Amino acid sequence: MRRGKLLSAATGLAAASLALAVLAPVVMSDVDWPTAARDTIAADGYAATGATNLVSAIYLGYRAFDTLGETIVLLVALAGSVALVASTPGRPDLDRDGGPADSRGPGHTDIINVIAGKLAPIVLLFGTYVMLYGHTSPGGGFQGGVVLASGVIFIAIGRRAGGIGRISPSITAFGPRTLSVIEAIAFATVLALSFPGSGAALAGLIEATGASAGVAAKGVAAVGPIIALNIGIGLKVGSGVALLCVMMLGGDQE
Amino acid sequence: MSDSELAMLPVFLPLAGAALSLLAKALHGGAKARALEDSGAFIGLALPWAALAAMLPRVLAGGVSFTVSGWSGAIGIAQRFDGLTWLVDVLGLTGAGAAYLYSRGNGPKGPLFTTVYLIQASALAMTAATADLFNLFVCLEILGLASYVLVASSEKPGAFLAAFSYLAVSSAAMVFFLFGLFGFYRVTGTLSYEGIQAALVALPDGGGAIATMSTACLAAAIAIRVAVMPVYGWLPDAHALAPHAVSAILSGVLIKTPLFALGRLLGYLPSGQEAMALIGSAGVVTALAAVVVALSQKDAKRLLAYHSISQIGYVVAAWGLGAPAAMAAAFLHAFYHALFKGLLFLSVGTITDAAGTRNVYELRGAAGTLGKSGDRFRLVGVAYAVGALSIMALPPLNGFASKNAIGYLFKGGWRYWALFAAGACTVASFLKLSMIFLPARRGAPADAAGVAGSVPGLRIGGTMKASMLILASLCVATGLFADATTAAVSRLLGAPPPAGGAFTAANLLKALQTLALGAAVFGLAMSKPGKRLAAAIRGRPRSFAGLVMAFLGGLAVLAAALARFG
Repeated sequence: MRRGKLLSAATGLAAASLALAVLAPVVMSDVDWPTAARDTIAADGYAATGATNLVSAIYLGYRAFDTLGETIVLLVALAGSVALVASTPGRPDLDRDGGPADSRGPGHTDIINVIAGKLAPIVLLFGTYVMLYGHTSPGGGFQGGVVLASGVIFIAIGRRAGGIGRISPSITAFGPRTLSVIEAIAFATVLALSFPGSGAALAGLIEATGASAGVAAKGVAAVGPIIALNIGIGLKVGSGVALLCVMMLGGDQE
Repeated sequence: MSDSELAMLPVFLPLAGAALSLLAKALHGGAKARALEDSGAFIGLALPWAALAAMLPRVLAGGVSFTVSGWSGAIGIAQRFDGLTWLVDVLGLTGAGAAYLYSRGNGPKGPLFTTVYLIQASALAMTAATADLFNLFVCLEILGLASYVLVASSEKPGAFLAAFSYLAVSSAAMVFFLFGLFGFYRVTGTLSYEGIQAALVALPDGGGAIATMSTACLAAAIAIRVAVMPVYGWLPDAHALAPHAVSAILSGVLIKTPLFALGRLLGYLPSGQEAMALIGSAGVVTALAAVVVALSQKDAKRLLAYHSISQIGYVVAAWGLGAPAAMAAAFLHAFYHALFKGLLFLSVGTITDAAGTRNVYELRGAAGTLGKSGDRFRLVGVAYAVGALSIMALPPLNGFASKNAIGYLFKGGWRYWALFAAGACTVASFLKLSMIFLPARRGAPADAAGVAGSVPGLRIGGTMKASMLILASLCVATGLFADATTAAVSRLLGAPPPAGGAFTAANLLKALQTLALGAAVFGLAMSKPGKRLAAAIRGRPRSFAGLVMAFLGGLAVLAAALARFG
């Protein structure tokens, strides 16, 4: 036993020293920090993408293709987790009365039911704001989507048996089925917007309708594609994360 | 459609298919959902062939370089669609298409599987074309995540653990990839391969220690995906426990695409040639060591999985030379291996499902068992034979051409003899596996289909047969027309046309020698001491800590060697 622990400690120590020896020159260098990309984006980012939040100019403009990849990573991770959760035996079972068994557990009180139900609309509204205004302020689709998902979770908690959440369990507006349809459509939207040329086509369409004539006159690209991408990513992330959480709460067994 | 949009189609078409299939999943069954899923699979796996056909003239004219959506090269994501990209896409689509066809018969089924499978197909194309370091990271993440999910989709005991250990070790490696990426961005301020190369050339010390260590980090992290020695430990479990269709694509395609992506990257880095040479030498060792372990296995699919490591060793050995002619030989073997190893996984998987055991020492009378499961024309047996003869490098099948092309590169050196010995052990190993076709022993249960563990009601359906038929015909065709295939691949990779054909007297003699030596090794392996040695090799301790230490040790050796060159 003791020898095993010693051996593990020695292995760990050896692993750490090997890693350090290789990584030290990389992280402890005193080379000047690169500035070219920073300066280019600071100078041209707004004009090229229309986004005043330069972070979104990068991840939804210049490097939107990487973001598509990360969205896919999230999609696969969530789909894999949902499949794992669905195949796990011994998840919380729903009563015939419509509430998960763990709603009677010590952690689930009337106070949580009431507050979760009341907070849900506010959280959903905030999530929508974060999602829609990512091009001008910190936030965007990924962050807004996660906030939206917490709103849906609040609804799911608030509507449990004994709770006074206003959505009854029989209404499935936020049930797993709707969530997966939203997820699929949002993913298709993000995909369509990410194809080279479609962003420019959308921007052209927006300019043609005169919706952003004022900005275009100043030589700034229409920000429409970035907003559309934020909405698509927000709905995709929100529905995906919410779906996983609702399933973990036993919501798919209704 | 512009050239750059056309070049993105092999990436976006499978994604569009995945989106349709995801919608099918949301519909929870029904005729509409099935139609959506089927059209998704068609769009994702069949239509990209049209895009590749349209790209061929552009590829022959030198290829297309562009940044996605036309952003400036300094910040945007650089892509390169050249002969290598085209060929790696062909490899990916062939393997993915055939394995998917098989999955329609023998599972896994369902829109979730199709979605993840198509996403993987897309990531393969993405990886083949990328010329941007961060984009490569994203590609590898998608490839990895999709494979973890696909491996875990098997319901065999141990598959979750295999998927998890693969996830843990390659995620740990990706941390080092990120450090390497950071290092290059730190000294060059750009992420595109060309930008990095130009910036490093302009530096007085060519990037110095940061560049060297970053190269080591990137190369080691990708080497894990390729499963070259010493970082191959995750592969046998993952590939042996995955569903057969997934094993076929994992072994056939997924371990090669990152290798060619790494080759593209290293071509731009100052110490890239040295890194390739070192990994190439590791490949020779891999080819020989893994085949010895393969020979000792008793689980049929695990035996095949170790052969994948051994065969990728051949590919890596040739790839390490770096020259276009060597790259052509490496690609040819990678492509042929995708064909014959896909075929072997599918046929052996079908046999073990029908027989209910995967133990090579117990399974007998495979032909009869298959006949009971609906294989009246012995198609699965023939498919297995084509695959086995290909991997044994016997004429006129494709493995004969590519293994000889690789051997020719090393004529006279220690590598030549190591690969020759690996070839003989491969013959021995497949003679051993082929014993499953011997008649059933007396005293064994007469009705093998009734053995516990067999897949209940397994019917070898039309799609399963079709996928094996396609792969088998491709093995035969690329073998018979080996010289034409080699010439075409050489042209696409910018290599000089190879001198002399595959079917020379010297090569035929070598095949005979390999066969004789292989038969001798087989005899030794089946003897009592041989079996005892095999049990000892099978039972050697393996642990997760071992995987991590192997990675870090490999990384340290690579870094030290590069530092010495630098």
